[in-house]
Amino acid sequence: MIRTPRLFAATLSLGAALVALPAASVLGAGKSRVAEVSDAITEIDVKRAEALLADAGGESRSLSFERARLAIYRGDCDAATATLASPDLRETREGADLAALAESCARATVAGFVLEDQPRGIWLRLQDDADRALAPYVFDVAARARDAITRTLGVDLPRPLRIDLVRDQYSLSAVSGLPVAAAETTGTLAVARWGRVIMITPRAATLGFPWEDTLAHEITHLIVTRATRDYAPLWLQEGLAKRLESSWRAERPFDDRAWADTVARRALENGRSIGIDQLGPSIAMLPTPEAASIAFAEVTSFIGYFLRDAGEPALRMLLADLKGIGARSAEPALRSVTGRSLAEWNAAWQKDLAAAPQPAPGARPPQVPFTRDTARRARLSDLLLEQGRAASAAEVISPVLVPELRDPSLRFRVARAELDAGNQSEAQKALGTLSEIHSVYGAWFALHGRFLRAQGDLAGAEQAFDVGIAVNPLSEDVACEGERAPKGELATAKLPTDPSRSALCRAARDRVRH
Amino acid sequence: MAEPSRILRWTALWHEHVGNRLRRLCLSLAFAAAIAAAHLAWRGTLPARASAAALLLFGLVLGISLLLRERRALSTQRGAIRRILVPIEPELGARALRAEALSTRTETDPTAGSPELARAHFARVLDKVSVERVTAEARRRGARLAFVSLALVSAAFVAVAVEPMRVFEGFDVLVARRGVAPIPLSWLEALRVTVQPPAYLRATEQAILPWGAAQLPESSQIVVRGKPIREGRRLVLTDGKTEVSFVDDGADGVVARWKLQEPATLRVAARFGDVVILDPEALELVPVKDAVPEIELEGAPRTLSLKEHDRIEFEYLVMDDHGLERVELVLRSGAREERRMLLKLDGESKRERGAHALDARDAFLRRMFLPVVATIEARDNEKAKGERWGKSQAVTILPPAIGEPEGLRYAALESARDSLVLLLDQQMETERRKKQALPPAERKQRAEAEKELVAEVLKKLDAVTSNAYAGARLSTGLSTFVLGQARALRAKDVSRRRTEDVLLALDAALRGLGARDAAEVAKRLADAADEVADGARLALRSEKRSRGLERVALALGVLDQGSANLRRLSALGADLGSVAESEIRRIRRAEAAQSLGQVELVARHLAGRLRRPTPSFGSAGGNVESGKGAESPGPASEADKQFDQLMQELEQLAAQHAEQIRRVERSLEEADQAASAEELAAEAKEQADKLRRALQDLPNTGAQAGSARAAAALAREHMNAMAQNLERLALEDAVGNGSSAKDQIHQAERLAADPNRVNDWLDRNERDEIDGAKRPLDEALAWAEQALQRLRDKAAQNAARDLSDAADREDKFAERASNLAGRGSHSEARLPEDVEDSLERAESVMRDAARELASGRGQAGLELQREAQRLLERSSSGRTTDESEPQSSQNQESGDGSQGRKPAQSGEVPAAEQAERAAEFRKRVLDGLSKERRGRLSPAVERYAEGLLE
Repeated sequence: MIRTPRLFAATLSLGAALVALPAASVLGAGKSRVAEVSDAITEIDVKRAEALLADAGGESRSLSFERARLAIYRGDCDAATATLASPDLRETREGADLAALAESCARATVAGFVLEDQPRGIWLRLQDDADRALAPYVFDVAARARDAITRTLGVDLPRPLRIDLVRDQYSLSAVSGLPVAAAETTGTLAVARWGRVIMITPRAATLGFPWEDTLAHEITHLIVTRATRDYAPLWLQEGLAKRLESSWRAERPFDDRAWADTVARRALENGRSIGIDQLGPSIAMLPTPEAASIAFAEVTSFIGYFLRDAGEPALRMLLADLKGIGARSAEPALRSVTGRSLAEWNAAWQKDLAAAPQPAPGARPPQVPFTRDTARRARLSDLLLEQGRAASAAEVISPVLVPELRDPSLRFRVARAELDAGNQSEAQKALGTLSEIHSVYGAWFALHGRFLRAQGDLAGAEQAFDVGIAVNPLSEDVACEGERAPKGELATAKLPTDPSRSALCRAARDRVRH
Repeated sequence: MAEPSRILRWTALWHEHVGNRLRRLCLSLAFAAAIAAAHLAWRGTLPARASAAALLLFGLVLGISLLLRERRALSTQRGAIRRILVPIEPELGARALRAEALSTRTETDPTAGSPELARAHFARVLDKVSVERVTAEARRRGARLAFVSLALVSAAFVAVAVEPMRVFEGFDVLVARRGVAPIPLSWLEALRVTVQPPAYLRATEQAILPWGAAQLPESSQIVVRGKPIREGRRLVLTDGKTEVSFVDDGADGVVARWKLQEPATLRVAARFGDVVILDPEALELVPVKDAVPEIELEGAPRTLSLKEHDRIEFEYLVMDDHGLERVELVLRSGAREERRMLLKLDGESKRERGAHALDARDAFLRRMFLPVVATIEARDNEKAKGERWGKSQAVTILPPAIGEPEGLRYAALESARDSLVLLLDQQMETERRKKQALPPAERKQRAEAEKELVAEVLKKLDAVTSNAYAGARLSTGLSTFVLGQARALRAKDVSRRRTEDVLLALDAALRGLGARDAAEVAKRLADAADEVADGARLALRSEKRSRGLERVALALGVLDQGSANLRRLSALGADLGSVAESEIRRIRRAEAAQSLGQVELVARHLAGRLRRPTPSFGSAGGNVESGKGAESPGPASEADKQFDQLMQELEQLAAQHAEQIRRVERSLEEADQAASAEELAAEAKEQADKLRRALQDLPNTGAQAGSARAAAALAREHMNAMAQNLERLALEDAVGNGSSAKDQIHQAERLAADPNRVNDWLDRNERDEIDGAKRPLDEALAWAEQALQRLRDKAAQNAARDLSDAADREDKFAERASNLAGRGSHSEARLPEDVEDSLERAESVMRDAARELASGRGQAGLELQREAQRLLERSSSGRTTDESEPQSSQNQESGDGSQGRKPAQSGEVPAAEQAERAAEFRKRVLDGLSKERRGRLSPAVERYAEGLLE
């Protein structure tokens, strides 16, 4: 019989507490440490994740998994492969998937060339060491883009920023895990995954591509991922990335800010709209390049509308809320920040799009389509020029020059042929001015820069060269500031004075030499 | 002192009656013991032999001890008294012993008493003994001993008499050392030894001498038969280490079988427990091992470069001691091996000579990048020890670097294209100059220069279509395309426009060829990358490190060369080659860091990349993750595609036309069957009977050739054949026979009428018979011709509607052929002149065929259709995208992206040393073609044969 029930109850409670608390602390601490590490990695805070893992003590399957994941984020796929070699990890689905990724990544990246710009906090790994000449440019663009976009979004990005520059889509697939068929179908140039930017080198595309904006686009993805702990929906990721990919730099010719609204409206009108909530797991996995283009336009237009309507502070709050709520859907955060659901926003945006005035003509003048005759002349001119028959090359290609011709590549061909034939003035006339072309073509801008420099407009020339390098840095015309080495005289040909550009020019000529 | 004489007398008596008999008893005992020991030892076991030896020893010892005891006993007085007197008269004997003892004591001890008294006492005691009683006892004792002795000897003799050899054998076994008795004995009579060679030698059993020495094929079965000389022995056949027991052969004999694997000296033996007694005769056998086949390969060992040979000849002689089963050509390169059967034999032939030619374009050789070691290997028919191959010395074939043949071919076509660029420039320059009033001399000079350039281009184009570049040739389709373009340049004055067209067409074809070759070369280079990876993996194992590093170094060298060759093959090749070079640099960085694991990883990545020979970046239009890039103007010429389209349509036309021919054939056949001559059967039989009656009196064969009688005899034969064909309703053949018979009759009449040919006269009777045969023959022939025509008309009627439809279709085919010919002469995709001619002729023949078919002349129309089909097939050369070389039958892999028809499989062309056989073959073909043909396959055969002869 208990004589003092109160004393008994107190003793019992104390005993229970004494047992429960340590148990709770043991259970609670272990689970939360893995989650902490995982979150740190997702937020691309490599140093913090390393510190947490160092403090973790003990070993568990989950911790090993996170260790491997961290290695991948650091770019050390070889180490990740070793960690994931454990049968314990490979037994699980996610362990097996990560192991496969680590192995293919290791194959594509081991013995690569690593360059670091420590002051600016950029880590660059080159699969093809022949891309070394690009490194200064990559560092510069990456640093400027990162700094500008982090300021815009109010989010920092821990250093270093890691970039893998790969040789081809096969390697892109190996390093990122994106299926190669999907990459080839949609023409994927870069992805932001595993805390890194993985981008194809501009040397892979014969006619180049706007790699600077592509790099900035992917950096934006990393920043948004960090800001939201990867809870941002795809429309927000892609919309922001597309919108901000050129925000870090000064405006360039043919930066068409209205293109997104134009394309989105057209898609809505002719029933080819993708829908901002129907993007699937990735735009890169949409079935056609056209679908991908429309998707980009729609999300960009939508974000533009969001910002116009809700403002930048709302955007920052939305990012923070997404991270805080941690839900897979953006609905709660969207409602919380703006008071509206996605469907309501979507409707509002479509209404706004439909009501907006048509864009002014002339922003992108209509293009004269390529005819068969044009193609013939272009090819004949190229063949003649390769054999050093500049006069005949010029004669063959010059008839394509009609007043409506706005294709910069054709104008460039004509100008090049005239220049090689010794007709400088004809070349300049043929090349035309900015108002006589409709898009960016690297070699056109390089030659344009050369002509501007000859006229004494050094600033204009530099700007032109920069535009060229921004799209096709390893073209000889672009890298060598419009100067081509005569056949057989590659070794002694003129080089740009700037050391970086000189290295780029040499690299471009090495490509030609082969 | 007693009277010694009494005791001596007793002793003498005892010796006389007992002593001798005791000696005999001892001998008998020893003899019996020996016989018993022999029988015991015969068992052969160790206990038995030990017991036998012990028994023998015991017998001897007993006998000797008995004798010795007797002698000792009788050598003293006391002993004699005990031995002789005591058993007879015990009391007296005791008294004698006491007296003797006293006498003896008194001799030495004076205190014992008087010696004389003692002696006198002793003598008195002895005097009481009866000599007769002693004698009687001695006789009785002697008799007993004699009896025992006799019994023992008798028993021993019986034991010997029953099986005398058993005793001998027992002794032999008893004294055996190390399990072998010293004295050999014969065990078998009528000994016969036969040898059965192993089954695969297919040799019959043969007998050999049962002694001496012999060399026999390994694994032969030695069979020893005989009749045991003595029953009850366990006979064995032994070589001293192994034994095989003889068993009853069911014919009062025994047999044992021995398999000859090692040299052996065989003997028959009998086993007695642990001991054998060998037969004195031995048979020494030496197995002759089956040797592996020997191969002599002419010219081996040697090393040759594949670039310098179109084909590699292997002339070999294979020999074996017993029989050959298989001869193969074995190709090895690195870790890869391919075996090709050259000869499959029945195991009888011991010597074979042969030859084989390996084409430089062989798929295995093309795939290999490391030296290929080629050997001729042969296996004999011995299977017991598994497959054993004889191998010739090697021919080492050094393949060209990966991509080298393709690079050379590409460079050749590129050079022709570049020459066209110069020609175009020349023409444009001339035009520009003309605007400025060109002086005549310069005009002429420029014209000459242009002609030279045209000639140069044509020369290069001809060369590239006919040459092989380290084994690589242009495909038939692409060659035809190039020749078609060349034809455009052969016109009198080549306009600038035409030059442009040809230039762009060749440029398009060159880029297509380059891209296809780049993809193929990339895949082969992937194998070299795999080799690097495999080598690195091997080197990770410390015991194979140097071998692994060697493989890595070799394969890296191949990769270096191959990637350089790849870069030259169009834009795709430049891209892939650049990728390969970049990855090679990465491999070398890993190698320099001594990280073989990383070397393997990078090499595998490169192999995977090269096996997917797509551009590094390919996108039809918009780029994901960025804006749009620059557009290219599109293809400048579609001549190659137009050509391929033309060829595809031509192939379809040929296939459909062939189907049309089959339909017409079926229609005619059905019509023939429908217009059956069943109703003519009775008439035909009647005609046949008339013919038979008429020919009865014509002479049989046998007359002098060239005589009238001989001609008449031939007529008889033809008439007989005609009668048979009439009965079978083979009217066409019957008409043929009838015509021949008629001709022979005419001959006979002519010869008989010749006054100069005295011996050729026919007597009047025979001439009457000839005349008698003429009329039935004429009637039968006329009837057959009419009946045949009626049948044909009926068949034509039956087939009329089908033939009319066929005529319409044939006309449409002709139109299509005309269209193709027209496109081939006027479009960018020009055809060579001979191809265009063939098409035009095909069109013309088709129209003729249509007319014949429309007129109901099915057979004539069909013949023309077949001719048209031959022309169509001749025109079809394949597409520009076809594989360049035919595949061998062993390697049927189709490459990625390979489109269009597969060319025919290569067959083995008889090599030079088989020219005689090849010539004979051609002669047979020609002979066959010259004969009358029948059957539906005849047209195909004809086309094939014509193709052979062209």
